Amino acid sequence: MMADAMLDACADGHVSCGDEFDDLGSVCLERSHVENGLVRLAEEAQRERTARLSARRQRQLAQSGDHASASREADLADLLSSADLTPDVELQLAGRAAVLGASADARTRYERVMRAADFSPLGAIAAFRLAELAGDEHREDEALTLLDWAVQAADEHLLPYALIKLGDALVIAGKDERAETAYAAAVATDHPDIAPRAALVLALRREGRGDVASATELYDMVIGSNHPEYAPDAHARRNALVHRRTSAVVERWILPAIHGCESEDGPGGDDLELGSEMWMAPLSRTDAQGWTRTEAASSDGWVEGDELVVAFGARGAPDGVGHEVAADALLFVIWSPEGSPPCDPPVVYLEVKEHAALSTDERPHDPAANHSSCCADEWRAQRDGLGAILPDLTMGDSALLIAAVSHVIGVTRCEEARLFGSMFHSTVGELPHLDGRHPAVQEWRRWQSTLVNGCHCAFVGMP
Amino acid sequence: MAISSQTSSAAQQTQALSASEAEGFEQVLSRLLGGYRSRNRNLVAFASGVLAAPSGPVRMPQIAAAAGCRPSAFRRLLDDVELDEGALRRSLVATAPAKQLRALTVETEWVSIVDGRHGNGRQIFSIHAVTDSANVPIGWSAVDTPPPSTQREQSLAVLEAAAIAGLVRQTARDYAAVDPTGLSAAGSRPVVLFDDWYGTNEELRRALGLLVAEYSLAVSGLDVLAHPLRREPDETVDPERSVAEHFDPLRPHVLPMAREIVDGSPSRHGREYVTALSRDGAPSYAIVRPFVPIPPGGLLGRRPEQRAADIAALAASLDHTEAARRLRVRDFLHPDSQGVRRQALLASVLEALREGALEGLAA
Repeated sequence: MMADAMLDACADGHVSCGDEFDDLGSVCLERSHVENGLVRLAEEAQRERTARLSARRQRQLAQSGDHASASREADLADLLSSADLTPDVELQLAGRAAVLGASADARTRYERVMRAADFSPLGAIAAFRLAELAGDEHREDEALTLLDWAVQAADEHLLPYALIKLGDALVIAGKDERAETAYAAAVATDHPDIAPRAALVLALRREGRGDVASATELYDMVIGSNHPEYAPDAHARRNALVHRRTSAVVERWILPAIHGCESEDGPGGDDLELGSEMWMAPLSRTDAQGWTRTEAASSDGWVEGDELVVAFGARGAPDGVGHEVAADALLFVIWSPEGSPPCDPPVVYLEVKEHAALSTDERPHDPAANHSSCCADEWRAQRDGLGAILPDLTMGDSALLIAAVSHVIGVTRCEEARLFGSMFHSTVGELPHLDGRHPAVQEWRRWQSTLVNGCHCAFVGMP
Repeated sequence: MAISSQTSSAAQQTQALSASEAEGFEQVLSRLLGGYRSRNRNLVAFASGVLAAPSGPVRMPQIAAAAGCRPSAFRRLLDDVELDEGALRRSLVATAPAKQLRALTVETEWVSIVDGRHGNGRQIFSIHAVTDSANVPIGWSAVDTPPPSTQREQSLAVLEAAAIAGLVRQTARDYAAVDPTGLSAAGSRPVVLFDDWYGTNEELRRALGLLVAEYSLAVSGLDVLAHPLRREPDETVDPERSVAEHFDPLRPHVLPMAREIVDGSPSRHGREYVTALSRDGAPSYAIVRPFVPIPPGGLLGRRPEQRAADIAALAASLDHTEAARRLRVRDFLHPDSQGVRRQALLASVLEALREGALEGLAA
């Protein structure tokens, strides 16, 4: 019998010959295995296509509101799908089961996908969703393990969510350092929503630890993102941080000086006493909050009183009289116990400057001059380009500073003090960065309309 | 070189235009192109002849007959003679100053021609400067292609991308010539392409990405993109989801939505977004590339999505003016694309003149 004929005889895959045909028989067997394999592959491909088609139809029907038909398609997809063949369909069915309250079914499917898809983006999704289920059931340790796994395998879509969830889980577990690492990694993904949220969470944690500089930087990052949900929150928290810092400075330095008593960390030996000469003390102290105390005194014929200058964000260390220092803002406190208009009671005002160097030789008030010529004009004339909005320290912060001063003075019942707030700006009244919701700003604006002889000093509030 | 033609009167040469219009047009062409008077008269006659020719496809004999001239005069004018097309374009650009620009739109029109040099059809592209008060065609291009079909031919995609990108590049140069700092001072003005045939053309998007900061290319809801859109953890993973499926159900009268295309690049900067909105009850989709300036180390947040949605809203407010149809560019079945381009430019300048936008040149 010819080999071809033998092969034809074996075309149905059965070995029907005796020993003398063993070689041909094995060929027939092998051919039948191959054919069976091809058939299986074709069947699997068909199953895969049909399962995905059913899953897609299920979604479309569910969206259109035909839930009965959607349910039938889901059943068909369930029949054809398996974790090995269609892990994506399994994920969809598991999600549907979770929504319908069948947690056990969802859990089983997710576990199967994790096993089948292993270390892959689909496996990561399964692990992430399983972690959510575990968290709902208060199995935090299991959730933590699953989230760790998900982070390792996640793609760009899932990674930000997995990181922030991991951070939250680590906080619950008391692993703060790892939590912060996870949050920082979530920030680095620059996800449209997760990154600002993670930055806000991180800022809160850093603020709680006293790391003000880092917290402020993170708050600024969230504010800069302009996220509709997280940016306002960050803005409010940053404002509160500035307010707290300012209040502390006012209590520690300004009030004691006003009351003529030493502050707790009073002036050091190098600081000059208040006297008749105005000069600049060396910047002897800085603290982590960015405030530096500088003392200066009035000169003859200038202001009959004493002045304390607190520089915020000062840089540089002048080494002599009348040298310039660069500062983000200067808080002037002038008081004249013996009275000398217009600064009869203590005057506290904040001036926000550009980063250009500022010389404290220049006088904010000159009572010798005609008051109607407006100290503010003279002040501005002496400083070309000053009065612009400071990009780093917004005028909103300035309002908070004044509010903090007034609050603290009010609390201490400094009844003799009338608080003046004045912000010099090239176009008075147009300060766009001021937060108009703040009571101090509203008050200031109200009194702006009652200029006295052109002077821009205004009553901010009475304690 | 003087173009010789029969020395017919101006009235005979410009039957579609009134005598004063023809004279004005000739003055404009003289100021823009210089050259011999007879050549410019022939250009006026040609433009007029196209307008006066019978409706439907026209060729040189019909145009010449309508203009009262010999076809040979026109043929040489379009195909052989040097003509400063840039001067014509810049005169149009000057009518839409950069600071008034809202967007640059690209219109496309495919027309069947029998004796085209490559393929049996022609894709006509025009780029338009859109201001609040005007929509001016400022550049034209033509590519001979087979008719569009469901199968996207890769080689043709490259040709067409080159044509569109070339128009955009040319426009930038023309604006720079008219007002060197105008475009940069005006800020980003998106390029908007209405035809959804081109939205998934990656060659085109790559080319535009190098030329402009922002663009909006229409896509079909049935298109399946090469890269996935950003999804949330509970969303379905299906690489074959169409554009429309990502936004279903699309509700009318809501603001445009935008979803980021996660293309695997290491940073979100410069990424594209798919936008969707319902316009007059019909869904409209586009691939949009927004530009959002941000300091180093800052977070993008949702600003790119918002800017993409703004661009989508702007694009939806703009209209396809069917300039190729209006100016009879699609009717002019000339064998050579240069001739088509010149006819289009002449018609555009004539239209601008008739609308009073070139009064300075006509005076």
